[in-house]
Amino acid sequence: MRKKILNSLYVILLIVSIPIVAVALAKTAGAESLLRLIGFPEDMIYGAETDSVEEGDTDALPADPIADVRETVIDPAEEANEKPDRVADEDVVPVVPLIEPKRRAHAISDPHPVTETRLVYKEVEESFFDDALFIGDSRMVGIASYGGLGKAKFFCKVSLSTAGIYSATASVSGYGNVTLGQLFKKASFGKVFIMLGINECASKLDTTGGRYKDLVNWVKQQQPNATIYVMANLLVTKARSDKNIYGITNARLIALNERQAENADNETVFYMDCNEYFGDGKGNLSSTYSGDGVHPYGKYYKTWGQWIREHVPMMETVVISEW
Amino acid sequence: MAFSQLDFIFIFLPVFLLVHCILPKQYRGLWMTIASLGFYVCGTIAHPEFILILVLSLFVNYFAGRGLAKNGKGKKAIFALAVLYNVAWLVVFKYLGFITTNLNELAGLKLSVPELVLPLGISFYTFQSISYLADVYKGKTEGAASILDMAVFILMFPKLTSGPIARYPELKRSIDAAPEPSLAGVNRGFLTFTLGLGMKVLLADRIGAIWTGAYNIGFDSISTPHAWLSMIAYAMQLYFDFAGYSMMAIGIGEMIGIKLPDNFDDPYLSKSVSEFWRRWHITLGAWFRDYIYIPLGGNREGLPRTILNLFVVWLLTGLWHGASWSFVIWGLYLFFFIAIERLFLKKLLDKIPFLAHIYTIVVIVFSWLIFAVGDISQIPVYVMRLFGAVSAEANIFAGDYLTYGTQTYILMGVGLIFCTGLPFKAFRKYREKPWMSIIMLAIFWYAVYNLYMSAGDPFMYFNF
Repeated sequence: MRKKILNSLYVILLIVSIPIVAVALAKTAGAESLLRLIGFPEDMIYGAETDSVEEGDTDALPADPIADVRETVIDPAEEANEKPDRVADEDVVPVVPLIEPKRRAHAISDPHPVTETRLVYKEVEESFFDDALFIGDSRMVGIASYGGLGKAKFFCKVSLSTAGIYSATASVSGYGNVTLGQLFKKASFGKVFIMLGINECASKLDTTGGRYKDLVNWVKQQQPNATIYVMANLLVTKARSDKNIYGITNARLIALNERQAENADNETVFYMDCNEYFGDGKGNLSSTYSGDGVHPYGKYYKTWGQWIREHVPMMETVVISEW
Repeated sequence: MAFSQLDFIFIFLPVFLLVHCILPKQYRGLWMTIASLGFYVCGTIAHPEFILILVLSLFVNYFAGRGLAKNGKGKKAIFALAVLYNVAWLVVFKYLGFITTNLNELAGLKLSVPELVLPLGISFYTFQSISYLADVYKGKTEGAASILDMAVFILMFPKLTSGPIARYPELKRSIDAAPEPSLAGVNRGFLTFTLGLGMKVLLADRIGAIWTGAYNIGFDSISTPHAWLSMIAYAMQLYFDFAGYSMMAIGIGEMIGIKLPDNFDDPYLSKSVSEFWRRWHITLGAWFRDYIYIPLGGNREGLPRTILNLFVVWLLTGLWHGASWSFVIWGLYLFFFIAIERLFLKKLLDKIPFLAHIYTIVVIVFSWLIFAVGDISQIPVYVMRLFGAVSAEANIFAGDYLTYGTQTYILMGVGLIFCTGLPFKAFRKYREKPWMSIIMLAIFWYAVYNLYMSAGDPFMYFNF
């Protein structure tokens, strides 16, 4: 009998341990986790979390964020402000907030020139990033390692998301392993760049968009002197998008980017979208840039860093006529 | 569906075993056939035509076998046509794209290049079918007495999608002699299965992240330490992935009392490339030996003919692994070393075993580089990085190889120990000991934990 048990000990241990593990798992992670343990796909367990963003669905452009600050301005012709029609997925292009320049009109006796304040994308020196913080996921880890952005600091980590941002710890040069809250208590930043979202495409877009908005507001409170730059999530290649794993498609990434862009007020929060450079013109990351469809090759992270340096958004006042 | 998936481990396998053990012996073949068809369908839902190709192949080869067994006048023609039938499917699905691309480039044609998805397991089941036909043709076996017999041989799910490539006579004997199912038998099989699962999930998948990292960075931009590390990591990943999966297959066979052939025998302990390929993917090497090399004359017709026969074998071995020039180069690279070993090098290697080990590991690890890189134009790029040369476009992050967690390096150390074969020796020797069961239990749950975390957490799954 003893020999029989010894010869079957492993199977006996397996059979005994399965209910123990099952009970422990159910108690810690809920009964649905048992379905996951035996291999049920997530969307069968929890129902499809993703809202159905159809191919071709894009929201209208975000509302003009400076409309309410126009006072004695001559508004441009109404046609220039028209919203785009819904476009097919292949025509989707990255969103750039349409900002009409603010012009100041003057009485005939006023000796001052006519100026215009408008959104521009300018190249900056590397020293611009001395007081910059970049927050992001594994693609930001790539920028940190390969992007060449001078003395910028990086709070970035593989699988980072707006859901986990507050409790996540990351190693930040000069500050050790910290949470973002701890980092903000120790350091002041003049610029905070944020790119998050690809790790949460399985969630409803409004939910993720809402979390992103909360994050931006929280960063504003924590770093009141900082200008915040909302970085559009870099898209994925068409091949990767077509696989539609856990909701990661370019249609959803573009829709998420649009929601995130709504945070831009062009005063303390700006939006920048590198997909205008890295895109294939059809709403995908060009396959030249990536082997796995998601992460650019090392040499293109350098290009990305360069693009960031050459396309920093800011409001600039220019004289459009002397008088 | 694959063995290292949770639904296989917790649903398919227990249900299969339970029904297998309950059924009387005469129905177990039918149950194996049904379960194997179900297993195949689960893995090919997106391509329902694949199961039809498989079943058609089963019928054609069975009836061809019946025809061959009659030993009549048309035997040669039946054999030739049946082999052609099997090869034709491989050519269509695996090589047509490669052939048309090359015709377009070499002859300036503008043929449309087909982009066909390879039916799951076709490289394995066609080779098993060809071996079956050859064995019946040569009179080694009378072949399957019924379509059910044939179905069990071809479809048997433990080996259907990734081998081992079994031979009909041996497998039939094993099936006929299989003892009645017992808890001890299932126990034995589960121990083997768990070891394979651990190799695949804990070693291969984790160590594989290093090579994936290098691929994602781009070979021109990896640091030299990372280049070496990734190359070694790939050599380990490939071994644990394939050997682990084969071990799981063998373990499932053990659970039902069937002996599937071994596929790996501590290959990294070999003292020559020739020996390596008798210890790595053993059943494939044996297939090429018995059905290509020996029929061509083997080494019995003088040295020049032997070299030619080796050339053919290794050209075909390369192509079997993949339809591209890099696989051809890979095969011919191995042929080169096997040929010079045959000519003079083996005698030298036999005299200095230590050097022989180093030589073999270096040659083989570099051979996997050709295998892994895939794109021929990238091979010189990678070699440049190995030896410190930097291309103009490179953007190297010197600390890249340090970005992997400590656990990855620990697992590489464990992997190195496994490459020595010592853990396998210990497993075979102490398999019956109670503490071995405890260790395997820990390995099982740790592997399941890894699968659970990567399956359920999209953040983990993608590791973005």
